[in-house]
Amino acid sequence: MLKPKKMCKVTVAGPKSIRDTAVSFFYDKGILHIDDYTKPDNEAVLDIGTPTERASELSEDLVKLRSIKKHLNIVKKNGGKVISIDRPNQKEISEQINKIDAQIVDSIDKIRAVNDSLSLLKAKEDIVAPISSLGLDWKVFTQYDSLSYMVGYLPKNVDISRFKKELSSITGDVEMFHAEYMGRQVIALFVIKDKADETSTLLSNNSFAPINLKCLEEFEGKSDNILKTIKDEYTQLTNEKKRLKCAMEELGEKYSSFIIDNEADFSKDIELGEVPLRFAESTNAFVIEGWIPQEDFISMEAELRKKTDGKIYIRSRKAVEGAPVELKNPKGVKPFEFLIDLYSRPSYGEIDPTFFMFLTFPLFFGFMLGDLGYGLLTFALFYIIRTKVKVAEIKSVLSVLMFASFMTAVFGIVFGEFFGAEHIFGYHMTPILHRLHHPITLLNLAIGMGVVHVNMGLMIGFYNMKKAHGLKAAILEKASWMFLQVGGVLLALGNMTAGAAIMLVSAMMITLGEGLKGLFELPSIVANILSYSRLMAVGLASAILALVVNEMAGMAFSAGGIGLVVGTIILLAGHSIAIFLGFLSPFIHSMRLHYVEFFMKFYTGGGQKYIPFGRRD
Amino acid sequence: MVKNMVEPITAIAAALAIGISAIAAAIAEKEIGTAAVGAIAENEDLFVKGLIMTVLPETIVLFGFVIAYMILGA
Repeated sequence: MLKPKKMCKVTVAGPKSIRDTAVSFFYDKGILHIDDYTKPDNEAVLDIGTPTERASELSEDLVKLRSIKKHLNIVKKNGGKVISIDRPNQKEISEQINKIDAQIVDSIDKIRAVNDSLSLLKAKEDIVAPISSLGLDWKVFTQYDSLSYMVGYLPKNVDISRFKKELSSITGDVEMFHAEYMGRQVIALFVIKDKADETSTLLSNNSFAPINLKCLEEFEGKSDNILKTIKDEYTQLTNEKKRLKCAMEELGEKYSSFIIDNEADFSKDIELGEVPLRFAESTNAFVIEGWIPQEDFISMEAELRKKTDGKIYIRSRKAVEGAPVELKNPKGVKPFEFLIDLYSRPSYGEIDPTFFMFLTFPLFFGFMLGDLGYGLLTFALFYIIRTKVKVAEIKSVLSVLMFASFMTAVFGIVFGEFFGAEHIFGYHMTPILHRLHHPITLLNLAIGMGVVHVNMGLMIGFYNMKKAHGLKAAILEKASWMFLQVGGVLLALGNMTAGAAIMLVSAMMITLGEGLKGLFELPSIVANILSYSRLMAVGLASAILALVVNEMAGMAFSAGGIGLVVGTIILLAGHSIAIFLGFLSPFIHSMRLHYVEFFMKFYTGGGQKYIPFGRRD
Repeated sequence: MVKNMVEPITAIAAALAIGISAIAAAIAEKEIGTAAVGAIAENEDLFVKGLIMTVLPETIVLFGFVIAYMILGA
């Protein structure tokens, strides 16, 4: 629990004839974390392995499959089953894929063509429909010797009778048609050519937007009829589009399992075919290097020997540094690995702090928020959300939050707070420690937790340091800080000589261990411990926030009448905000106390994640 | 007269202790925060490192807070 899984380094070598057997064996087992082979410059014996030819063929098909999947909107339901490694009908599958692909490309082209025609029709309709609303024949818009015409929209706010008056002041030889179309004013003007320019000026002064009739020269006859033709064509095309889309959907339904199964299948084959790129090969042999959990090694070795008729060389060495790290924690503690990974994975051989985080993270969180009502409510909320989500990481966060809610409820009982009040529906809660009345006790508690936490970190650091660099380094660099605190306490208690002496000695030890830098860092231990006073400060702030919400609501309630409604709104909104803030800031502060104050005492991190070949999550 | 002045001056002293240290922390966090957001935009893995660096100066406020409490408590 406190240490990552023990790994051993394995080297597997053999003739090329059994390479594929070994590779698929490891793929199915899913326990080997492969160390990528990089070819040294001076050594020409071993080259990087070559992927199988099948792999490159398959990747082309896979690309096609994925594009089909996207176009047909096929959603992966449950994993897709992997059929077999050697499929005799690979060629058939390939042909089938090409066939589906061709069908889809064809359908997509057709749909695109229909869409284009539809937008063209729409544009035509936009021109014909307003003219049709004027009730004019299409043929009036031809070339005249003495007449000019203008067709278009006038803005809504233009007064037509006023416009007419202005028009008649220019010329009497004018004919105007006017109609409303889709909430806009459509006009058509016929005017003698001499006055055309003046009329145009008047029109543009009134923000006239002309309709371009040029593109409709192909039409003849009454505009009503033209409109009808356009509309008929439009419905026809829409139906065609619907039909094409339906056909696509049918295609998707028909082939969805074929596509999903083959996609899973191909991905596996490609992964298998390309893995030689990660290990070393000579003309006739291959060498795979990697890491396997120690507990799995013996059974793995026996099985692999059996599979390859003993034609394989397997060697294992004890892992030292640089081994990939697989954390090993019980189910309840596991979600907290997320918080560790957020910082950095432990390096191999150092203590995995997940369990400590499991103990103290919810504790600090609960100490800060501490409200029975908030705790119970959010616990239920997170539980419900957790049953709905599927992403593993979000699930972990929610589990962590549920632990935090639980501790919030526990501290709610200690502090006697229920949604900021001291009563649960009339029943008075007797607080064990009243936060607002005894803030100094609260502060002392917080600092006390800090002392314990920081020294816990130092002790883990002592263990890590002893393991890595021996007892002397551990005493000089970690134990010295604890002595320093003892000296400080003695000094504070009034025992000047002993206190000063111990502090001096530990300062010298720190200087020996960490160099001059350590000497300058001496006051940091005080800063680290005082940093835990935030537990009390953030806690008080959240308690007071809830109290203020209740008081404001209380004032509204006592006013009666509309005040009851306002009070309810204040209660709901206020407590929602208080809960939101109450989760955001304790979460960040609790995280910070771990990452900065706790981890810096012992944590190295930078471990490589254990990702075995063939494992699917 | 003198006795009456003690209480308000203590209160002001406490307010100054926490107020000024809060402003100091804010100035420090402003600079770090901008840089951190820039770094996170480049590489999202730096989120936690950025967060830690950004919240480091908070300790300054806490010192002010503790001092303010001591002033008021005395």
